[in-house]
Amino acid sequence: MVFSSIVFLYIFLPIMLLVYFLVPRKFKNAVMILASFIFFAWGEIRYIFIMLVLAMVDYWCGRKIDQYEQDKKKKKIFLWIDLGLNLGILIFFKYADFIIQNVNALTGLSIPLLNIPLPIGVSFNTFQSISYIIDVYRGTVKCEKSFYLYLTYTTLFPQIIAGPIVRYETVEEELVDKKISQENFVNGMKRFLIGLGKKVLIANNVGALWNVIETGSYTVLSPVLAWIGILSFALQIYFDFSGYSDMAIGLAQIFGMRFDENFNFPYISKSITEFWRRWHITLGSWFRDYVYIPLGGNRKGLKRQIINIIIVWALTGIWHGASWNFLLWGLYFAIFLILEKICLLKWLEKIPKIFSHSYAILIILFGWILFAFPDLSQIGNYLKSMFAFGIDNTEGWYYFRNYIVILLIGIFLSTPILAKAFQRLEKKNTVVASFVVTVSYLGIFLLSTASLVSDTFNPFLYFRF
Amino acid sequence: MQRKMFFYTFMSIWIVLIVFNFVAPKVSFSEEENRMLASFPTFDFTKLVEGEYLKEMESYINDHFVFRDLWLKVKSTFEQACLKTENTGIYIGEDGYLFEKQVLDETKITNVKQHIERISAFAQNQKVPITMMLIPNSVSVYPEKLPANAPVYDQSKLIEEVYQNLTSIKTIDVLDTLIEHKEEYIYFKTDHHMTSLGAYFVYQEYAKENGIPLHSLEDYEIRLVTDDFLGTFDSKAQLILQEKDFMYQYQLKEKVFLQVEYDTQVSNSLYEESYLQTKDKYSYYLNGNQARVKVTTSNQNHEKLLVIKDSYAHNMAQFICNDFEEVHFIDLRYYKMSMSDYIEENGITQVLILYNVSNFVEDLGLRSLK
Repeated sequence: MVFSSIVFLYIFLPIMLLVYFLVPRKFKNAVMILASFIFFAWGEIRYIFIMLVLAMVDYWCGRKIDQYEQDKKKKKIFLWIDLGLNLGILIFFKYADFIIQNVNALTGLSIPLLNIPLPIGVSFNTFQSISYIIDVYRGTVKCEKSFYLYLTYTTLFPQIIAGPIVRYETVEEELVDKKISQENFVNGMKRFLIGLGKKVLIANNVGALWNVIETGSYTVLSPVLAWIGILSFALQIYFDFSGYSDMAIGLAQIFGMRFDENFNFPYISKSITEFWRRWHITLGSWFRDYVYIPLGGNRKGLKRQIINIIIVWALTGIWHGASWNFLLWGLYFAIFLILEKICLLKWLEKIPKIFSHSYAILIILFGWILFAFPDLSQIGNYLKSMFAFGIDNTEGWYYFRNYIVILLIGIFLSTPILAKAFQRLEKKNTVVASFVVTVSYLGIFLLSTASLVSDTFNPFLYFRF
Repeated sequence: MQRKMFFYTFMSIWIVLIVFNFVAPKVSFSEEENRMLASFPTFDFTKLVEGEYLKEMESYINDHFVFRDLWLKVKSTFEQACLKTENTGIYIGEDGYLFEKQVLDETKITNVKQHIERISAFAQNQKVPITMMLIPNSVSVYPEKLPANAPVYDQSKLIEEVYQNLTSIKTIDVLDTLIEHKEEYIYFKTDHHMTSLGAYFVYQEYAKENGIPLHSLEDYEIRLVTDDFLGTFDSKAQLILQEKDFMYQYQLKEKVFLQVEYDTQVSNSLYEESYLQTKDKYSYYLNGNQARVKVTTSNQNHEKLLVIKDSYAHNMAQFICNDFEEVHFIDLRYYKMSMSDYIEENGITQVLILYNVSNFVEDLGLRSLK
């Protein structure tokens, strides 16, 4: 199930909320767990078993590490059991076929592919487990003594599909003591609606343009079409991804929990370094805390730091999908991060903002081309199309004319201008302000519903002439 | 105050929608969209494990969401507010004209090739004269009404290519005739069909080519049957304030008596009044989609015509049937028997293969023509 669906909005969520708020405090976690299971079963029933096994092993290893607090060797064994299991599951489900394909290509063997579908959320789930076990090992958090609470943490449905990556320490307290109030409900619901609107009204709409390109439903890929195409992809992925994060954060708040922020207007960045502080923040900090710093970070000299950056960004890239283009995408950013670290950043800070901003946007846009096409030759062709200035742009202008309004809305909403103005309005306690705010949210809610209802809208034309 | 206002308005609207959605009666057919809505999925353990069951459940829930028709209008209005000139695959043209957005992709090109092969092979083995008519769609007759720069493929080129590659068959190109009459009301604005008048001009061309005596428009008694027709293009685009179409009936003043045999019923008229009360009004002509329709007339000229066709033939029937002793309409999507045998068994004297271009590039059973 996804949040942005009629089933979720009008059946699952209302029933779940009703039950959740009616049951006594001590059963609220049980409702969460049950809801999570139904939520996941909706997409992939088999995955529930993986999730349960993972939760049990994490919990058991956590307890063991706690038990052998003084015995470094034993402690380490249990750390590696759990890491091994989590990484094993991640590699098996996500990368097995990719590895087989490449081994086949390299050695000429023909090992059959496993064709296992990637279970929803496995990347987020394993990363959370890993953060938990490492934190317990390091002693930065106490191990969870109750399996019931640990299970609640690890199955928490709002964030498993698309983040944010929630660390145990963030919600440790709220697993026991949920801050349920009308204020949290209202603010959470508002946040959820913002995410819903981002996903359904912006991402899906600009995504329709990208879909024309992805499915090759055009006659020529002219420069105009190629440029607005990659722009639409950039906006789609941002509004989709951050929309999901907003919905997750909002839901958590409704339930009385607080998640970490995941996006902070990444497209206003003036350097790549800044971009990665604003984009998918919880993933960035995960790699920083569990890979980059343990590798030595920047404490072992520049040479070592560069190597560390390359490792971290190669991993970040490949985390996004089992395909070479994602690795390439990660390394592409590593290059700019290293350049910025060495000299570029100082220089970027001095030049007028318009230039540093354009620099960052262009690098990010070209990055999305790497991200968007799994096939390397497609990337080359796309780049060529962007600069093939002799080509007839007629069709490109048609799409430009059709999508320019929604693209401009997307660009405008990528800046914090409206969000800030709206936040000021939300603080005013006048009738007019209250009315405007309420109507805005209702508008988002009803328009999103309309979009979701019509999505299946696909009349079978030739059935009844 | 803000919090309370939001809380109470939002909650009441949400709850009303949730409750309505649970209690509202479900219908199985959407008039507005002119299609069957998803039915409640039957439970099956494998389907559940595969995730199929819940997917079906989801389309059921979406299809049956309360006030569905209203939501669709809201969505299309939002799209139009974003100044889009297309909606769900329909171009919103000038003067109330809607057009289908069709891309000639690989599958369609393959379809066309196969259709050419099949028709040529079929025609080679027949002793009776065979005529092919590929009718252009409104998009080719009114390109100037399309949104600026809208990508379309050249139907006249496609028709030419098809005709060049067909063997043992007579072909008639009607595009020029239709363009000549474009100021008249020959295509529906909201539907993919021609009007009866358009069908009249197309049939005139067939009659001319085959030496059939022509009827002028004055020979007909023309009657408006509805001024309230919103066709398939409108069903898809779901626009508000869309101009409606008119449907006419053309009956020869010098009446020809007919007996019309459908699969399960017999009638004495080419029209089926009951459809005028539904959204699917075009089915008024020749009772909608039928596998086979046999019309026997009071003519005694021993001419028996077989029409292998799509629904473009349905309103043409009122012109065709005046000139033959028997007319057999076959829709290959539903009628799977051999046409060669059919011709022999029924003593057919001439064959017309009639399709519109946007259908011809799809798979419509022509592949199994034999």
